[in-house]
Amino acid sequence: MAVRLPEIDVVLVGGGMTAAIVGKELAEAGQRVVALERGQMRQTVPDFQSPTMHDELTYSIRHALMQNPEQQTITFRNRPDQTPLPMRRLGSFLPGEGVGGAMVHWNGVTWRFQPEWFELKSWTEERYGRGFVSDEVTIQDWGVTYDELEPYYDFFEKICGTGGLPYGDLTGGNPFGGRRSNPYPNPPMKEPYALNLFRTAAAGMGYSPFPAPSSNATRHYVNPYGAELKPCMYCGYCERHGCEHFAKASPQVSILPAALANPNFEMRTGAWVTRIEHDPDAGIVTGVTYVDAAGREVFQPASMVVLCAYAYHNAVLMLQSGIGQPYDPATQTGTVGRNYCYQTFGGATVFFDGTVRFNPYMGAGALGVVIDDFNNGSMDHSELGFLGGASTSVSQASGRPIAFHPVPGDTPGWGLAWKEAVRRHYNSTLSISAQGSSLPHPNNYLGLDRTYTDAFGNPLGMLTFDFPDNDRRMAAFLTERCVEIGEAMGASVVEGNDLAEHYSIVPYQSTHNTGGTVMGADPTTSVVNRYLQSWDCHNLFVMGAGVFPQNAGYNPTGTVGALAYWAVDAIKNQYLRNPGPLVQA
Amino acid sequence: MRKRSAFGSGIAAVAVVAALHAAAQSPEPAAEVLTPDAERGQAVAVGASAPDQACMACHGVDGAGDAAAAFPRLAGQSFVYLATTLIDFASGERPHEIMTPIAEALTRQEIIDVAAYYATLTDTPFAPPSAETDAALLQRGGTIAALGLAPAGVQGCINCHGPDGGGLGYEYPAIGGQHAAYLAARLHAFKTAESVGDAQAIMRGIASRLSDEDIAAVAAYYAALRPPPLAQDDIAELPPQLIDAFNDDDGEDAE
Repeated sequence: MAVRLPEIDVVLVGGGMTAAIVGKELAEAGQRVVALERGQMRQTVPDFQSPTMHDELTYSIRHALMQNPEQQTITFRNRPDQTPLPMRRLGSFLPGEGVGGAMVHWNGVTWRFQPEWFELKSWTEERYGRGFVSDEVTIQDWGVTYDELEPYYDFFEKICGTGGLPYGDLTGGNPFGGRRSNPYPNPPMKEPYALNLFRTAAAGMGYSPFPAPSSNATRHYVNPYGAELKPCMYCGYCERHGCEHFAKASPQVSILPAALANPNFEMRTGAWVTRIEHDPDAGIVTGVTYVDAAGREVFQPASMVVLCAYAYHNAVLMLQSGIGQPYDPATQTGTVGRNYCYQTFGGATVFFDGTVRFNPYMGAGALGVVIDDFNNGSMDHSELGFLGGASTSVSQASGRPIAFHPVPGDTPGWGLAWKEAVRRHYNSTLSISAQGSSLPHPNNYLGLDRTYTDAFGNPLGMLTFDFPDNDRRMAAFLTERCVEIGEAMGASVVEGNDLAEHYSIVPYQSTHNTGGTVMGADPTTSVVNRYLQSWDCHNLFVMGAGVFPQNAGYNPTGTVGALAYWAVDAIKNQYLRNPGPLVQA
Repeated sequence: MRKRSAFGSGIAAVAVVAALHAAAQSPEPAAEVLTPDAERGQAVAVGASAPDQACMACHGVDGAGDAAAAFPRLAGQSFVYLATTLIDFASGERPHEIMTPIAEALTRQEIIDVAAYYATLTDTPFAPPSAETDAALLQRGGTIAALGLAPAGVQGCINCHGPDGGGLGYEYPAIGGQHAAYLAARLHAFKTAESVGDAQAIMRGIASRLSDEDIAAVAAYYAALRPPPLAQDDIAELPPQLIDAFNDDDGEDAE
């Protein structure tokens, strides 16, 4: 029998970025809020201090800050006719664990999506006509527009202390981006030589390079919550590592100090939520059941539940709890788990064979130069044979010794020849990466596994995913463009990086999993409405990239942050005054 | 006095292109190529041409400084840090009652030479902490150095100044073996000074969160560390920071 705790106003499932945002804002609005984080407390001091934090083996290779798949993982298959098997080690993506979640070990690239992404279906039909993409590309509109999100993007950038162009005034930056009400709060990062080579070559080809929007602070900065970010010193340990300098925006640095200062907010660690309790007849959730740090089952009643776990886990939790109709690929009905998307990469590795020195160990997660000329809203797709696009960049994030040793494709995989090639190419090689969109396909979805369970006996989430044909054509196009730019840079060897024949969950690709709890205007094709409110239970809200109906050619964090502030605004100013559905189905 | 052997193939082989404005500000011609020379730097240090401004009067020929008077140890300090600090003294970026007039009187060539001289001294004696040093204070300082102060949101010193206090890259000075009185005075100055020098706004935020006792502890700890034999890596290429520093200086002078 579960321990029953006194009822509180709001339960947040998770202790990462969106929980910090929602917790801070709702506690300030007078709500009593508890965030349930399955992992431990972590702070910049002492947990992220060097030299310990620069232990690449512990953090980068053995995933010290990430979810432990021995306790809970997902199963995977490429197609519905295959048997899914558990992912027993983290590989393709790296969900976080512990306070701060994945925003502790992110890189800091903080994009706004182009406006076209939010109305992708209507934009595509209007521009290219119905039937331009096959029925198998189940794109849809988000139910919210860029213009509606713009103020929330702006605020999130201020919370993160994002640096970029435009800075100072509204000139410069991405010519293909959406309207901005304000410049970035901080100037862009310093540009190293490799990035400058890319900038020069891209500009020479008529493209429009600009610095990547970076939440690695470029100067002393105090955000609207009064939190202080300190300047990045380009140590090259962002992704997979915590920042020792208070420079990379994270919940710990940017948001939680303000949340934790409010007695209405509690961060309860070691609390593993196993089920959302709900009353289907009343159309409400009643709280959550979790296993606490001592192994006891606890029921925490609450007037409102906000799912703030990692993107795909919110869908899994809804499936485990029996809320909403599970998506069925055979009939293409149901919504929970639908439209799982990822990220599709094209790119090129560019070898200068010792003729230049890039010093790649000097870097920062979001240190990059980008062109947006190949993103969705920048191109005419009429003759291209696909929909979608990519932000294309050279970044200098890290030259860490275990992970970074680029060698040409014909190099032996081990032995003396490999070592000599590493020595030769380490300091004179860069990658051009096209971070492409991912469009939904009826076979790509999240479900529950029928065989495997987690440490608490609940069925594992099950991922079915392969790259859709549309995205394959896009990746081939992007790789060709990257190779052209690499050749224009005067490199000795340029190798195109082709998409794998099938998606594999083993090699790391991107922690940009989206979909499963998608937002929209139609309850038959979305789990939450435009305010991220469940269609089934009006006091259940879902945050995170799981609400993206399809994934754009950008890093998702900026949009996750903007959507969180957009939703919390609706909760504060509409829902709390008059609890009930904010959109009539 | 032994010189760092790498010097001959390092700094001296590298040319500095000074700013285009140089001619208007100093006797040196525009777009001049400056080459640091530690031998000439020694002449500056001993005051060969300006005896009343000899560096050695306070910092010693051996760069040991003076613990009691809080004159900093310069031996083995980062070449670029020394040069940019002199530029900051001269420009008023880091105003200082004693050092500003001295730095103003130095030519760019002399700044680079004397910085190279002190940066490459390796045999300067170091006095380890005496038996009277407060062990608890050292312990506290060492903890702050390694881990920072969680309640104050201060990161560990070693993140930037290195595990041995030897500094890092070009911008983060060596502090291991530096005199406690000087370190404490600098940290207090960071708290209050309007202007503390190029790129050092980082330290203002950190110092402002340290109590007087924290400062005493961390200063005592670093003073007790033996200075690393080579504070910086060999300087194979003159970094752009130094050229930038001259350019910024010109820009401000021109206003």
